[in-house]
Amino acid sequence: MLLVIVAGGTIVIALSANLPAAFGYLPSLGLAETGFEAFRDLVHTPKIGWSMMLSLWTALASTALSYLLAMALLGVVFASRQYGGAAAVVGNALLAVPHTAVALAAAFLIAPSGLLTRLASGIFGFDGPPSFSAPGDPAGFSLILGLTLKETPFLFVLGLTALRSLAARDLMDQARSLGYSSYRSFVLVVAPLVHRQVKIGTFIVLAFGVGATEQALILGPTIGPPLSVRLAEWFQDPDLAKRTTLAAGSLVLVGLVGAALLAWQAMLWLAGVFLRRRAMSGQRKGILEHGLFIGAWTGFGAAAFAILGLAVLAFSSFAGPWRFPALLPDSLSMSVWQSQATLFATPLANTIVIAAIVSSVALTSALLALETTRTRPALRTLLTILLLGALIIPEPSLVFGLSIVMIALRVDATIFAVVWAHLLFALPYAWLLLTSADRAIDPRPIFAARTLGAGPLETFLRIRLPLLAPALLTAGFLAAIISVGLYLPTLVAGAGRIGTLTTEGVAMAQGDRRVAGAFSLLLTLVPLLLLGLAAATRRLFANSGITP
Amino acid sequence: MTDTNGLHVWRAKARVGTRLLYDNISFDVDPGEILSIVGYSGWGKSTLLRFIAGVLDPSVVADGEIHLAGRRIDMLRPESRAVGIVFQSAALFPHMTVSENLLFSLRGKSDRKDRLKSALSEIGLENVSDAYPATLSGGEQARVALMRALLAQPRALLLDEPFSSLDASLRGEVRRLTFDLVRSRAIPTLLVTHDTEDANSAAGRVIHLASGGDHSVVDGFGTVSGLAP
Repeated sequence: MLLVIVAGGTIVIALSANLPAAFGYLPSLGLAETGFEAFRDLVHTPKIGWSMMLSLWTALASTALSYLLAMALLGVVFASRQYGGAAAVVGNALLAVPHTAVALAAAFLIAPSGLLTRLASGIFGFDGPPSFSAPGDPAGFSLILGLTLKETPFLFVLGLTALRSLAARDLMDQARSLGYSSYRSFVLVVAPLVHRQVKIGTFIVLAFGVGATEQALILGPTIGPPLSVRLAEWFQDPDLAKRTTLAAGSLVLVGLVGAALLAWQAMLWLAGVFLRRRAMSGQRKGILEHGLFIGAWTGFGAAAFAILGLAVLAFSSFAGPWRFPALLPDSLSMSVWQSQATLFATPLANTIVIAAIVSSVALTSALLALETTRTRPALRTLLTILLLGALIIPEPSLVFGLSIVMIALRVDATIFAVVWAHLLFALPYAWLLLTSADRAIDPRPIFAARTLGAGPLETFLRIRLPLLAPALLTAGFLAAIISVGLYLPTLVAGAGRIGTLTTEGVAMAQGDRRVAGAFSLLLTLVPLLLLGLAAATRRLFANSGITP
Repeated sequence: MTDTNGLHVWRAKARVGTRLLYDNISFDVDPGEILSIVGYSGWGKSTLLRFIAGVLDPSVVADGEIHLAGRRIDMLRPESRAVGIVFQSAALFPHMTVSENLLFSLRGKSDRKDRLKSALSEIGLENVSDAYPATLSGGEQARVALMRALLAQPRALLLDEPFSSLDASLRGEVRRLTFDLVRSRAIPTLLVTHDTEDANSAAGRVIHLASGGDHSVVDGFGTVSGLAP
């Protein structure tokens, strides 16, 4: 019950804190004159309309692309009847890598002096870096690329989970015996069922895309940036009056997510009508299977692109002078790691400490909530809705609203504030994972224990807790991985004074590429290490006969 | 082979890892004939059907020749074999209504509505044409699954325990309808069952799978009551 109040309360208060502030009432900063000044300021901001459209366009385009690529990859992997395990490993690994690291990697590949133009110069014979604006192109294509690289693994992994819970194999075999190819069978028969289970995931991706900040800072245009970047700029503006504009912008961002969701629903509806017509036509051949094939190979290409970018960027941190158009540096050097060791030490320590606390609190809270809502399904549903709300509301709107509350409570710029902000985003995933694992537990051993005379506490400690242990540990690692990757909540709750690998990595994006490479490598390694530990733990439990 | 339009399986064998499931299984099924395969669970009956349909799990290694209507099909993809299959679970597409499940299977562009109407009438389900599978009874699901398989105009039909999930009261009625429909279309049909009552009702030849040590072999052909090896 307490968690419902705290978690739900935080979300509601954080979101609604923007409301009075947007109308000028922000007493904690000495602003008490109410009116529409903040909205006027927002409307008169140069190119603000463009910023909003860019937020919408990049979010919708990247969500649609990620969804199509993820579905195509699922189709090809599923139709192959093998490779599912290998695909899950790659998907989970890419999913664990923070947005910042992927954005830095993409930027390094597509920049005028990046690896791709170096490769092109070898083919076309030019000596100097070409002149084009990527990353940072005005139409946001670089940002769409970065978001797609990161969100495709998320939807792919969600889809794999959905496939495991469906009797999809029989349905596919049935469709094939009716004369449909494996790819066409997947698109017409299996994909609609997978879609039902990943639909909420696409909403989360879309909302994140509208509010994406760290990727927009690295890959988005600098002139006329997406609205989320404008909000971050206003947050860092020394003029405190800008905080009211920030609050107004945060509310507009919520509206943009609403508009994006409506547009996305319309797109899905149209796609549904098209597919239904295809299915009812009885045609055994058409463009669908070709589309799936092309989409899957684009998806494989995107994964390879992300992995290559991460590898090359990590390699760059060990590079000496590396002039254009050389494909390899003149020499290798540890100079960045040696000279900047102190630069990495504090953010790394902060990252680990915060992730450990967030993980522990998320785990304890989720477990307590699980037990206290066991006999109260309505309360459990309410909690799930509230926690999911935190993932559908754009991150900046929640975080900036929460900062108003933190300033009023005088807890901002502390580790406590950062942990609090991180929990908003880590707890929902821990909760969803735990409730799902709890549903999968066979209740008969628990009933048997009770009939053998064990009390509720003994049953919980000796039966349910060991059965839940693998999921608990996975949830703990997951919460830590999410915490490692959070940029805006860390920046805002920490008021820029608590640096983590993510905040420093974004700050270094425009600086020395080798330093950015070092941050990117650390940002990639820490979550992958956590993911490896989670996998090892699951294997350990699997060997002991407890299914994770 | 007794009829060139029939189904001919020659020296089929399958194994999972090092475990041999069945070995050296050969038989023919003539058009309109319903050949029953009877044997205990785990003896590879369903695997044999999946081998014929071409939808085996990759962990199963199967071998043997399959000829259907005069051409060899074991090297073809499932969608090119013209072999229909009805699973025990019915495997109706849950996001499609009864009509949509049938339309999905119906071949050709002409008279689709009329042919759908006639198919619904044949299985007596006109009144639930817009219902989703989850709202149907087991018997209704079985009838839709059967008609869906037939509408694709298969040259052979495989029935994998199609009656085992039905109540005893429904089983006889669905059995009768199934056998009438496949006989009227003169399709070679293979019925896998562990229930000798199903095989009896089919009133055709029966293959008994029996233990050949560590794997299944054909114990004999005949009827349920009298085997003629």
